[in-house]
Amino acid sequence: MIYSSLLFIYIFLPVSVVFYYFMPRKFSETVLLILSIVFCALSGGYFLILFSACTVLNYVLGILSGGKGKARIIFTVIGIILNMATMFLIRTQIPDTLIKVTGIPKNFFPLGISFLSLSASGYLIDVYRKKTEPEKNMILFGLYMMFFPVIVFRPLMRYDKFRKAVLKRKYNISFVGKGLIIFVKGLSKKVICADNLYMLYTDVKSIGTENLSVINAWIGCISYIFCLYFTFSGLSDMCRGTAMCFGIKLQKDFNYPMFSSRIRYFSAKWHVTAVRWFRHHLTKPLALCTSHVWLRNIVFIFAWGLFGFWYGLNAGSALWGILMGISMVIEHYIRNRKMLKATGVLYTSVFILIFSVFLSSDNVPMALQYLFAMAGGNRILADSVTIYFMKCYLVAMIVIMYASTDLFRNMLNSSVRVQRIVSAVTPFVTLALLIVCTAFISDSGVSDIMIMRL
Amino acid sequence: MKIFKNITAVVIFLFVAIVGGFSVFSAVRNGNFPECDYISAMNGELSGTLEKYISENLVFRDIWRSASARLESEICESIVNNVYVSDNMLLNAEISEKGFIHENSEYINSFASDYDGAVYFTAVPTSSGIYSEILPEYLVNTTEKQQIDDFYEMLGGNIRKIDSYNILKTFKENYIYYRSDNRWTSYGAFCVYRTVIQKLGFLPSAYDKYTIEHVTDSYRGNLFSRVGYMKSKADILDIYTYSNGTDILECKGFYENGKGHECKLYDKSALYTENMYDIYMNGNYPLVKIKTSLNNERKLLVIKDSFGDCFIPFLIQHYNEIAVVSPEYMQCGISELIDKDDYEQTLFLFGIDSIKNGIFSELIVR
Repeated sequence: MIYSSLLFIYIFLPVSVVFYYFMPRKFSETVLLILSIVFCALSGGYFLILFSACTVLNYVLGILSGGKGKARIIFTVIGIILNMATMFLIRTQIPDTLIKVTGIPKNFFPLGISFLSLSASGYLIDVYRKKTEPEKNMILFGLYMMFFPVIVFRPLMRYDKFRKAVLKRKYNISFVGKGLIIFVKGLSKKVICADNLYMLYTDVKSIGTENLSVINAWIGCISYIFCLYFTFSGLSDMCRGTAMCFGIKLQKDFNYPMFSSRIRYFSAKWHVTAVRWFRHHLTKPLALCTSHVWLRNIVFIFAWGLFGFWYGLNAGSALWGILMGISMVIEHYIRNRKMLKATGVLYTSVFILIFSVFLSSDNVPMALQYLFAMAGGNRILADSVTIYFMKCYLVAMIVIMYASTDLFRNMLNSSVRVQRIVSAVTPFVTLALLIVCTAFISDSGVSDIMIMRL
Repeated sequence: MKIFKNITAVVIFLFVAIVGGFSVFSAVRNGNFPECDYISAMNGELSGTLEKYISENLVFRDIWRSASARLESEICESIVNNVYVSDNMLLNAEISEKGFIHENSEYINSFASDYDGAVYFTAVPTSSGIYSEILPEYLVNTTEKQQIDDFYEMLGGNIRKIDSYNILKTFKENYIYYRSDNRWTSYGAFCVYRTVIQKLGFLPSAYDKYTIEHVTDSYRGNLFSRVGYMKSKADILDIYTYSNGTDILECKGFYENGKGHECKLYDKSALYTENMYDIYMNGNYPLVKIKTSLNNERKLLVIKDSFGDCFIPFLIQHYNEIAVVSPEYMQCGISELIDKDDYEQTLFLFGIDSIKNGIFSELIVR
């Protein structure tokens, strides 16, 4: 089950919130776990089995790797290998023998498996490095792995931070209100912005690279990166909002990365917790092994490459990560040039767009062909389709681009008066957005288009 | 600003409770719960079924859907569920692919090779083929005309191909296609009938010999059901009756077991059901046999999809017996239904979309 569906918004969420607040407080963690199990069960029996198996396995391995003696590193390594192998098998190709034995369908894809295996591995590493205590409380650990608001698109938080957030949760109606505001914001990002951008993206894709005019190619690329941003940040907002409804504050994943003035700033605001996961568990430990600057740079680029690989599990997305890493290293060395200051937003956007072609294509040759079209290789600047796209999407694009920046938020914070007016109309704006989103998903009952499945 | 957050919580919660509550209530009242078995519960299809079920029982569903189509066309492209919403009509906007064109041409060829009589083929474009200039350009990479030509090219020389595309194109200012359906109207069928019947060896009946009755002006077709856009115009369904012409003596529909059921070419009772289009050849029979009072001993076999439904009545004036086979309802091979060599002529009548999507299968050669 995904958050942007009528089943979740109109039935599961309200029922679980009411249930949660009417149960005695000492049981509330158990209640959350039970609700999460119901959520998984609704997503399918195999989904539930997979997630509970991962939870139990990592619970046991966590205790073992937090124990004494030299054997504990073995358990940690085994745990990491198992988690990664699960993710890899499910996301690429489930072996035929496994399909026959267990009976899982061929296109089985539990949304959120990539996050699950990363956060479980992160937990094991932290336990091994004594950064966090191994969890003995099964319910709390079960929540870390299976808490339903974080299943689909979770912030990759360190275990101790998550535990703190759960234990320090608040029972307060204003938290429900805030949570619902964030949820509806995320829902609108997904349903209104991302789904329509996805349509534009597939339109451009359907033209075929060899007939693509320059402007159309750029339109396709822009729609891809914005669609990706709005899908991810929308899901992340829905997840944070749902958790907030239960009084739990989670970390933010996207901090208005679009239109940053440096590639470094972009990367610092894009998928914050995942980037941080790779830095904590990969870049830092490896960089400590060496004092050579150039080796550290290579480690940095390598970690970004792995991050990209985690996104798409193909050469193109790995190349995206490597290019991001290289560009950041280069940017670091020429950071004082006047050129950078003058062209800040422009050059960052252009590079991000060019790199995103690698993320969007299935393989590298196709990406190169697309870049060729973007550079004008097809010798068409614009055609009648361009005019059609402009006519249909120009206004929407401008609004969506504005919505992706922090300009509106900054305007809110500019004066107390503005803030007061805006918060007074918030209930009605939220309601209006919810109504619009409901209209959009009323036909199929769900908005499950995913530009990238993690 | 805590107070406003509390207000938000209350407002949103009330709204969700009302909409959700009423939807559940109407779902319970309708009672048609989705089926749930072990397999669908295990592999996660259950949540999809539930989502679909809830959306079907959502309160004011028609208004929600109509609003969504309206919003869609305001915000971005006017394409909803792969249907293009233009000012006048709805058009199918699925990107066309060749699909099963090759396989289907093989089946037709092998049908013709062990058949003694003459085989005729009419491939009919859909409304998106005739009115393709309304569609945004990037969707029209291969036109339906091209696809029909390709298909005809693959058919053997012993099959006589009848061009309907150019006829329909010349009449495109007339009401030959429904606004909310991708199929032709009775008038569109009549325009093509005049050519087809000449190729089959008869003189066409004149248009003014027919009395035309508008049975409804509120027909909403298959494209409408995908969009749900209320502002789009409804369609008129017509019934053509030939005054002082040949009478139908017997019209029977057959399933595989061979028992005949009385049926009608025009069944007005379908007007009060969900699918009004069923007034043409109601009943989903794989085989319908029509006997007329005409004593010319001519027999025709028609193999058709739903494009043929409103076409058959025009043929009545020329044949003593017509057998109508609909592959989409067939479970067994054609030889179990009928001996095709009893008929000296066979007319295939298919929309190009069914040829592409493979509705008629190997069953017609078995």
